[in-house]
Amino acid sequence: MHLTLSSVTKHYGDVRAVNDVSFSLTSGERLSLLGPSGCGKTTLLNAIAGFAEISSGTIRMGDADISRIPPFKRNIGIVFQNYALFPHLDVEENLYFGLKMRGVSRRDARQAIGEALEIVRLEPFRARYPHQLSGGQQQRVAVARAIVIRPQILLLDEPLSNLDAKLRHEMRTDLLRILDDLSITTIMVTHDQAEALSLSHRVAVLNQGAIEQIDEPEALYERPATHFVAGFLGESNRFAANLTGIDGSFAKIALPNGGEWRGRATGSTPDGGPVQVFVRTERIGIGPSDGAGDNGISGTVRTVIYLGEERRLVVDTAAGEIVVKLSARDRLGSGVGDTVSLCWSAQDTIILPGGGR
Amino acid sequence: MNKIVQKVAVAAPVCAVFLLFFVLPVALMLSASFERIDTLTLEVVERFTFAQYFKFLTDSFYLRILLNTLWISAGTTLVSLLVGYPVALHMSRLEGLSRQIILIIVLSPLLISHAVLNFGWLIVLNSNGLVNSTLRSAGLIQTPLPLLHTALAVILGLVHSHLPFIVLPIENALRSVRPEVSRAAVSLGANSFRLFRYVTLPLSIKGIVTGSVIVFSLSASSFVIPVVLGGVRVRTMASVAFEEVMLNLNAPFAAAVSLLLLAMTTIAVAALGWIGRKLQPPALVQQAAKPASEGAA
Amino acid sequence: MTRAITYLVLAFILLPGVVLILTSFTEARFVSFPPEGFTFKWYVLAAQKPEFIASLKLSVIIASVVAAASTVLGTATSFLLRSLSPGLQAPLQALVMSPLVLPTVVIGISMIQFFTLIGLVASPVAVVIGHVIVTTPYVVRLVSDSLSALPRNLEWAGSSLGAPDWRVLVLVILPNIKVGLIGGGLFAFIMSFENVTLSAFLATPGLTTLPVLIFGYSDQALEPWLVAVCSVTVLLTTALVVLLERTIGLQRVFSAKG
Repeated sequence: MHLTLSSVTKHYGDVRAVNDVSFSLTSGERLSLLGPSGCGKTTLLNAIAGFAEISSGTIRMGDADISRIPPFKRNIGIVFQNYALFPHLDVEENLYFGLKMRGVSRRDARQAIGEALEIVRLEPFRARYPHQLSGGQQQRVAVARAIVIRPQILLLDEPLSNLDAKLRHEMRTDLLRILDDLSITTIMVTHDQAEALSLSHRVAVLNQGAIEQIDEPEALYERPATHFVAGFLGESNRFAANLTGIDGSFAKIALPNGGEWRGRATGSTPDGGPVQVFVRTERIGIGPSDGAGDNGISGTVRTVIYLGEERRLVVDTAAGEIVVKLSARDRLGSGVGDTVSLCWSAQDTIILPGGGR
Repeated sequence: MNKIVQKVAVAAPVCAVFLLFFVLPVALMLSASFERIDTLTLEVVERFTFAQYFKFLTDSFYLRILLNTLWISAGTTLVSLLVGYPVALHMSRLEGLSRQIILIIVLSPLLISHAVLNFGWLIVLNSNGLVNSTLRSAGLIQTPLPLLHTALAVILGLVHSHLPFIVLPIENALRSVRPEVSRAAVSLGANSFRLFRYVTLPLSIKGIVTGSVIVFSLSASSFVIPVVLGGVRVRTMASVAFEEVMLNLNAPFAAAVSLLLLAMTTIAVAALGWIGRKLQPPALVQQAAKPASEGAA
Repeated sequence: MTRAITYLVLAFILLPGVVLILTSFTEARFVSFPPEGFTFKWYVLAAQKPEFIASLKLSVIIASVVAAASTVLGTATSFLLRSLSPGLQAPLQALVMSPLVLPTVVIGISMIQFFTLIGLVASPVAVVIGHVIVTTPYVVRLVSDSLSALPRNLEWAGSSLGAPDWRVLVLVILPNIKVGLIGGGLFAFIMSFENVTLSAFLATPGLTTLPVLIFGYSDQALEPWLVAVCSVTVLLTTALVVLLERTIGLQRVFSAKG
């Protein structure tokens, strides 16, 4: 079932929680709404679910306009952030609830419930009550309850945020398997980029109620379209610079300190003027530059933070402070106070128009 | 739209019940307090007059009753505080069953009728009751002490039935102080007196004020206990109001007396609140306002 | 130190109840302490007093009606309060909670006047209405407590699974606030059953509830059969109190104003 939002706006008084949002999903597609808290992603989810009445715009499911239909008639399955399992009902009864509303007899429901529990691998827990289940199990019951009604759309609200870090990794893999099996049109809301990038076909980054960029995960990460997206996804060093010219697929930029770098030019790169340069921390290496397209700068190591799987260096350079993330594999002899030369490829130098900061 | 209709459909009867059977009667009573009736025929002879208030406020007999009410309520509040604080302190350190048992005992006077409790006190304070019999058999007195129908008996009864209202808020306030705070004070060198004086007490001011306000206003407006334990000798405004309307059928005067009582308690409550705010260290307001853990569950 | 004081205070709290129970077994014709001998005859006598039986019956009927009515009214109010915007919530809350704030004499006098005016004097209906006004705030407090502990998501989960509002109410909300409802009803029953301050105004001759009956006898010679009656109510209430504490936790009823 495809889902189309056109110019959806929701305001509370003067505050526009969701501002003119449009996108559409094809059947079976999974989209993540990603953004910081307060960006309007939850309001948008509630609007699709029918819990928040939209101020203007339309929401279409297939060909039907569902903007004004009450939630209980929308046939949308929802996995709530805190799962919202019915505490007074056991697992089986929780799953039966939606089927009962659809007039399915208890006998006919047995098979559907069994299948849903099989998908989430919880058959042995049929007779347990929610409080007798672990967080991960509750999460899976919530998924099962949402899919047992065979909804046309599935909504997931911060599906993994209530789990602790280790379990979250496991459940992410699990959830990916479940979603792949279901191939149901899905929208999920999250503030966790790893969740968004790994679980969905496309990601929409929201900021202040509006979509900043909507694209496939890799495209979003490698080719951010706005300062916000470049800054929000991953961790970047940011520099203000001046674009001085285009040379094929590369752009020449001049830094205030007199240095010159080369960056990736795209169709939307301007011919000149002030630009913002973003370089991701994990794309910077240490050592002499070894390619013609490379940028480099030397500096003094101010801090080394050891994090086990990675090591972060804060380096003072002429272009300002640069954070470098080194993987555990990169052997590093240098310590605090040493002079190092940093390098990264022009491909990894993202240029976005505009001044700022 | 549908939701609005639903809300109105619920709101209408709820509001109607409270407006019709609560707000309207109180409003009518307010207006009645400005009437004057012929005490023999009960006919209203004057529609708007301050006569009832004038009558109360200019007669030394009634003024003495006002003072009586004030000091009995104040005395009850003070005694309740002195007696209730240690109980609250002790309770706040307990968990589980032992706390639950104390809680049930502390709350029990609220759930047993005042009429019944009065009866118990009569047996305790009677001339051949518990206290007098004990004293007599101990040889301490020959003739029974006149304990009943004294202000002391009234205060005793009031303290007994209003104690829960002082214990609970104080315990609540004390419970909201995390145990680490006391441990920190002790680790910094506070002995148990200083711990109490500089940490525990300031943090429970809010509970003390809340409790005192409730106990004061409830004691001032109680009439069942003063009528029985105070008899004709110890009268309070509430018992006068009760007798005026039920025995003398002088509703306007009873209305005026009970409204004066309301005014008096309002002033006293405001004063208590003001004192409480003065005493409470401002930085601690938030700390003390934190809800207590759900200990009763 | 605080422990010793606490035990003394607890003894003081229990004193009148214990004295009543002990004295009710006295063989003496007049109540005195210590009781003499041991007999159940006053209980037997009390059971044969028509005025006692009548007032007990009346009290139980009134308390039951009050419990049912104030549970319905209080629950409706709690739902309403929850669904209103803060601007409307505050005045409604103030209206419904104010009977707890106003002195009972004020409520009593205003009601006796009002019911006289509309000709509803000496009617059990008047007593029921009066009790409902003063017990409903407690029900509202308890049910609102239960409701606010209920995550909003739960209702949303219900409706997203296809349940219309009324089915969400019956299948999702009510089962989860059961404790508040039962506790509220039970508490309203006790409050009505033990009420004397308001009943003393409304329960006129011929319409005597049990506490009013006992109150009326308080200025006369203490008769042992009345002590037996008192001791029965003490034991009964104790049982209900323990039940109440087990179901909802008594503290929730009294702590936190409004």
